[in-house]
Amino acid sequence: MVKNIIKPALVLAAVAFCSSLLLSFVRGVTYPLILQQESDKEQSALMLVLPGFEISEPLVVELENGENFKYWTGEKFINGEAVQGYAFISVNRGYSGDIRSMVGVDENNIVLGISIVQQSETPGLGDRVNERSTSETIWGVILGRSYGGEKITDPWFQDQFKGIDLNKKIKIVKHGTWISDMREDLLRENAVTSITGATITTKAITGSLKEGLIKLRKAKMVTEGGDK
Amino acid sequence: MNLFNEFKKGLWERNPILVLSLGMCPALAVTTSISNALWMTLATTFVLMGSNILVSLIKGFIPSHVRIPVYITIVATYVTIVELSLHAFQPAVYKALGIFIPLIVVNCMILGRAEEFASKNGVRASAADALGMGLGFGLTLTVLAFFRELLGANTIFGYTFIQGMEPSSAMILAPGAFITLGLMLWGMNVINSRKKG
Repeated sequence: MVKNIIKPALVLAAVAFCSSLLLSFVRGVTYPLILQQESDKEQSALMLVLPGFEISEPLVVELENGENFKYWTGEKFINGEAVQGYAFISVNRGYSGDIRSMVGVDENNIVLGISIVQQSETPGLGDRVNERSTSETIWGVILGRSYGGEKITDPWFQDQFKGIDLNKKIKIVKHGTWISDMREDLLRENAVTSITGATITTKAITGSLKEGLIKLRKAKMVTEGGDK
Repeated sequence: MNLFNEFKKGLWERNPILVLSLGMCPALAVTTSISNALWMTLATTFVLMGSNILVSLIKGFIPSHVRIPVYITIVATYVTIVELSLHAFQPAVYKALGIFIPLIVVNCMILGRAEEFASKNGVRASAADALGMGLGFGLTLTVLAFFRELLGANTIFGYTFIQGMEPSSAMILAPGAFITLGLMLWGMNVINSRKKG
């Protein structure tokens, strides 16, 4: 009886011990590298959303609700005039898990670019936020012939946010997969086209942009107030 | 023991998805595109191989009524190691696999093979079994993904299939997965009954 309980318990404990030991070792080796990857990812996202800007070190501001808000300020010269740009990370709950996106805006709250840093949306639906669109057909690829299709290297869903005015309401329309011909029509209405079957994901992202902008305003007030 | 037979049985006769009905969760969830299916196959086969070999090696030391928790610990440890190492050393692959890596833990095919096969057979047979099962799993997933990607997104490997055709998003959603899987089962049964008849 005692043997029947003690031996299995010891074996199980030994297996759990070995596994924990192994995992803590693997984590010890990989953790610094993973941190490095994450910061690299943040840097490349920053370059993407504030293209051509001289980007300063991030500022961390504590908001009224105790939340720490991190944002970057960038400066660029257009025709000899200094233009400011801001970048921040906005988070919102998507269909499954948080969606974190790096957002770049100019002084007038026009989006310069967004880049989704982290998401765990449904494969084939919500995760198409990272889809790179191409109108190249499979036949063209097999036969080595191009039918003049354009190759888009930036994910189309994120690309269409360029030029969206965050002061106004962002409309969500259903025009299917975005192509660059749509840009003008959509921008006139301040609209983005949603991903088919993943309206929740689209709404989560447009919602997070607004929310992030409000936080950015508050944070700017805090820092500028502190400077004076 | 005929190693080739252990390998071969996973492809058709004991196909993990179509016959054993194991690993249905990833089969339905990630078959929205062929590349997802292939990545999933690669990751799953790797973990299955590792867990089958390890379970077969230590099967003599494990008291039978704690074997299931031990197997789960082994599989979960394996998956975590794979996830951490990919994240650190192969960020591009990690990004492509994303959510599929943690999903491998809940793939009952791996636990099922540990319990049903590796705990009763030698190391080489277990490795052959893992390879065959992994390949059978992968073939089924790829065929499923081929139809779903073609009809649901009008693409193959991310390239447009027919320009201007409006795809049916039902095929990308869960019903499309169930319908396609049902048709595949039907097709398999037709072939099997013809063979017998």
